[in-house]
Amino acid sequence: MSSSNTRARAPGDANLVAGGEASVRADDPDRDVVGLIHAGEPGDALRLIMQRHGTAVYRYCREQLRDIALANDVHQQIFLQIYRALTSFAGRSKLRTWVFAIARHRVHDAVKSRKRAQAHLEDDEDADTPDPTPEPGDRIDDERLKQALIACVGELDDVMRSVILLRYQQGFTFEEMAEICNEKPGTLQARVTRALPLLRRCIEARTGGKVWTP
Amino acid sequence: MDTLNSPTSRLENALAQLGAEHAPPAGWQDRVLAVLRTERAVRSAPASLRSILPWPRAKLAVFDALLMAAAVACIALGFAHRDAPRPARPLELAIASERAGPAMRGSSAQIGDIAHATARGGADYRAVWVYRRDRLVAACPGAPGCHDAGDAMTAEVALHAPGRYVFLALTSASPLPPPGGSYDRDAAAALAAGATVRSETLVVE
Repeated sequence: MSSSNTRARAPGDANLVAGGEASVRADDPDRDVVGLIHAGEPGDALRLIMQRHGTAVYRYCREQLRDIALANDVHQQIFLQIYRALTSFAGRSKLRTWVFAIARHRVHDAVKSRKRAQAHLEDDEDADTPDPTPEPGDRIDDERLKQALIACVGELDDVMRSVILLRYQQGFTFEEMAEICNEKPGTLQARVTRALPLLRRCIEARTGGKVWTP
Repeated sequence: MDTLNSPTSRLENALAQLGAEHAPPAGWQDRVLAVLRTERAVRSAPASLRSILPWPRAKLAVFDALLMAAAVACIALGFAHRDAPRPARPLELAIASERAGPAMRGSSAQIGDIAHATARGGADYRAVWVYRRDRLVAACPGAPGCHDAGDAMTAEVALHAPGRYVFLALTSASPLPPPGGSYDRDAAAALAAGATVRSETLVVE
């Protein structure tokens, strides 16, 4: 258990409410939404949160869960939980960071509940038909890179996939990710550093091409 | 230092675009708000009535008695008119696999078992679709082994082959699009039409 000052507090933690420590960060782009929360306007706050962050959260769910129906269900559950936890948001982190902390928890809960089935899926199905292999040495075009990347990200373990999506798909800093994941920034950075070469090798193995121009 | 064409930069740029084509299903915000409104109404209806009525206690007691009588009448009418449009209740999906012994809940089964996928709740239109390796194997209503008991719809599927079976429960206030045979496309079409979907997975070994 980390005792660092950057340790994230889980959404809904009662300690955030006790003592009336509601605040808003000056660098939070969602300051207006935080104001609505503190003014006791949760409905309006939720509407703005859904408008501003609904699509980004959905993209994260889709790529992390890789199941349309499950992603849609979890996506909806995330915003229901956000609404129920609004009164516990104290403003110490940016609102978007807090939203994705909730999203990450719900997504990982969904992953755990189907983990056994997922293990059998990897053995049982070969849903990805490999792309035609280009001449060795050819640079992979963007479309083929994208298709191979989708498959290779799917082959990462859930924890590594999550940090890759938070870092690159969602653009969080390692400090923000530390709040979302309740881990140290250095740990997350190391995980990303290990993941990138894995992805590159996977892409090149799938396509026979090279990610960069020689 | 990374250049635009360095492997890391290309990879990072591609990762930044991952899933950029995905968008939440139409109407999802309205569905979230509808769920919250329903929850609020269930929790607060009795208190809200009291708070808006500036009546003396005696009249409130009479009003409560009338309200109870009205509620009983509504329940009686509800049983008498079972074909009337159902108020939306949360959709639930439960899966049980039946062997020679009693039915057992779980996420795995054996060849020869019979899976019972039961959907409860939901709106006027409801369906249960079953896929094996993402291909449709059964669709209720309509297929043999479908049972519709009003509040619950059950699909019975014999698990003759190994693989991953996905069970979808769907509901909507309007007619559901018929399944075309592919899990991804069917789920996407149903969600695009505004249906609520629940899914469960069963692995047959």
